[in-house]
Amino acid sequence: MKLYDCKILLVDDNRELLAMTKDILNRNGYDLVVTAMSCREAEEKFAEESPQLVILDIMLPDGDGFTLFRSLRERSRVPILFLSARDEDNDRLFGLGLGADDYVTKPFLPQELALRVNAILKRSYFSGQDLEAGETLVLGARTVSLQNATVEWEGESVSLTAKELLLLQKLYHNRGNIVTFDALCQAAWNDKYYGYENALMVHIRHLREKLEEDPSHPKYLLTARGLGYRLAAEKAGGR
Amino acid sequence: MRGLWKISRRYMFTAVLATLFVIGVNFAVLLYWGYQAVGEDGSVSTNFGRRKMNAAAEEISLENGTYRMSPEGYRILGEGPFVWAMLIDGEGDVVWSHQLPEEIPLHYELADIAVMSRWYLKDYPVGVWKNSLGLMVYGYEKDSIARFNLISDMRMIDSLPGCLKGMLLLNGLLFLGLVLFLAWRFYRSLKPVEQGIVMLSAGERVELAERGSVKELARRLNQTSAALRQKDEKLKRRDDARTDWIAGVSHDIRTPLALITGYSDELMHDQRLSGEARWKAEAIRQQGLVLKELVENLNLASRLEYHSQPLRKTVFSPAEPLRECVAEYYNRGLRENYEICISIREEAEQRMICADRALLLRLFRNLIGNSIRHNPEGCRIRVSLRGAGDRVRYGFADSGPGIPGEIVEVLMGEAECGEETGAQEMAGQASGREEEAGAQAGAGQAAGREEEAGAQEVAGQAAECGEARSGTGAQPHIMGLRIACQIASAHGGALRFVRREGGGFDMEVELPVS
Repeated sequence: MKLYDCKILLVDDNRELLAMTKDILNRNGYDLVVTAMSCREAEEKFAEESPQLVILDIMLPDGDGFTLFRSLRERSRVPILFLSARDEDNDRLFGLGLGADDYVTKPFLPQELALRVNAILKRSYFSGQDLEAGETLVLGARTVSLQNATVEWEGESVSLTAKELLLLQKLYHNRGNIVTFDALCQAAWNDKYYGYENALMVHIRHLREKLEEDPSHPKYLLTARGLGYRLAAEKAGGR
Repeated sequence: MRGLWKISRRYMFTAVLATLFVIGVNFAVLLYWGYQAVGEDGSVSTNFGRRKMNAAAEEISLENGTYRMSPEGYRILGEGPFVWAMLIDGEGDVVWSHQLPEEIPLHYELADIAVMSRWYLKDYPVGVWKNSLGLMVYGYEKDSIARFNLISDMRMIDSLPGCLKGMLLLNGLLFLGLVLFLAWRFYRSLKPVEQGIVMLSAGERVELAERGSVKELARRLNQTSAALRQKDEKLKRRDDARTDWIAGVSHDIRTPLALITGYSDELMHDQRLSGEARWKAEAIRQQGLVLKELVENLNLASRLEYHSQPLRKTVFSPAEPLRECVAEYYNRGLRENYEICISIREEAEQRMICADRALLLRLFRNLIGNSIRHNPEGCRIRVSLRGAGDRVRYGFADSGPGIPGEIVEVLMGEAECGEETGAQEMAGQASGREEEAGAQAGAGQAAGREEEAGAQEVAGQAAECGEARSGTGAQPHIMGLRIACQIASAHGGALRFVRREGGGFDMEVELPVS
């Protein structure tokens, strides 16, 4: 199964919003979108269509989304995203606490919804495949295998230490974005930044020595002064 | 215990004062009475007219074997207080008499004289006076004078001064004991009332036992407590209703807003449309997002205002959310004409704070977002963090003109009206700081800032505090700052406005460390 073959069940009591959300998903490549406007209809469609993702509103005419969520979860581990007009933290935490995969509040930007749907589906159905294929990171002439923790270039090869790999993974998963010192220390040492300032600097220097052609003028592993580090975004994006 | 001592002291003071007063009054009355009792001639009327007895006795004489009283003597006798008089000679015979009642004998034995001089004669109180002729006996009216015969042991009289001292001491001690006992009883009966008042002022429920001397007081306190609780509940119900109402409205706005932003976003990316149409769609989308932020802010502000926003406090480094917030701005694509510089002092890096992380992020976003929004031509934002005693201080300054004084006035005006007056502090005190003064390098870019006018409008509405709250709701910019104020004070901290040398204000947030 491919990512865009996933079937999505969309439950919302507002006809216009339902149409728009379906349209957004269609335009982002998800052709198989089923809609329902009530809990009862959602239960029926869920049983008939066996969707790979459910997008749920919380306020429905014949019940609330939380109850429907529990009912669906009893039958299946299908990922569920709440799309709600209620932004109360309590609702958000309650929804996520129930085990929802994400919680998006209205109004939302189409791109934001599409990205979140992508992320949930990838995480739920395709994370294993990625790992099997082996995540590789190409930085100029160098190729990093995150699976083997190696960097290769021009026939040479060097290994990454466990901490270097953890740091690089964190940066890779947020590629193009600044990752704060705090987030990096959390990833590598599961601790707060204070006390690891020098250790982090040393590990980044070692990483640069392995990744960069000119470590003192890095092109890929960039410093965000006072904030953290950033792995330069890919020049040409895929899809 | 301090209360007991105070009450005892007051009791003692009052008792001593009352005693002295009563003694004084008695003494004065006695004096007055004594004065009244003294006759014009200085003789005391009740002192059996001793002077008169003497004077009358001197006026009697023996002439040619006959006892005679001079007219002067009769005059003295006539003035009283005697009703009769007689002279007894050495033989015991009455040799002269004046108005002598019949029942009085005319001869007396020695024993009769002894008894009469000490007690009564035929129920007449009598006074005796010896002169050269014999014994003058003066009779007073029956039942007019009481006679006592005091006999005392000399030893007892000798020991009287000592006894008196002992008695005084004993009385003093008894007095002190009584005062302390009464004070303690009073204190004990007042204790629950005092506790009740303390509880009342702390807003707790008061239910005192209605008995004893303070029964009425306790009843009143219970009534007051019940009335206050009723009022509190009413207010809370009203606050809850308001919060619910705002939450409801913001909920209902969200779905149409989702359609507005969603479709305008779609139109904005529709290549078939003309550039102008797409630009218009982008404007609609942008305003939809502004509305979204406004709705969120309105909701959060009302929940913070009416304390229905629970604080989910955790302990973390104060620098961490600040870095995250700044990184988030860059990651979301900060326009090139903006720059956010961050500086965190080591002492602040070491500390920990206990706060609601999500709310703190919201606070930082509001303050940085405020600088970005108000400097559309771009600016340099300086974000700092340092330790200050048992607090950490976040600084937010930009190279733009800073926050206008009018907005600061409005916010400060609200703070003065609000319940958390103590939390917000006027920035005037902090003015003239060199470090902040440096941040105004790019001041003077104020051209084209429509919010200045808006701020004045808001300032106008702030004339009455109550109106300022509802009136400023239309200002998303000021709402962000107000929420920042509320978040800071909800954490026991404060948002301060620091005046720059050239006018305008920077912001500072102080939070207690955990």
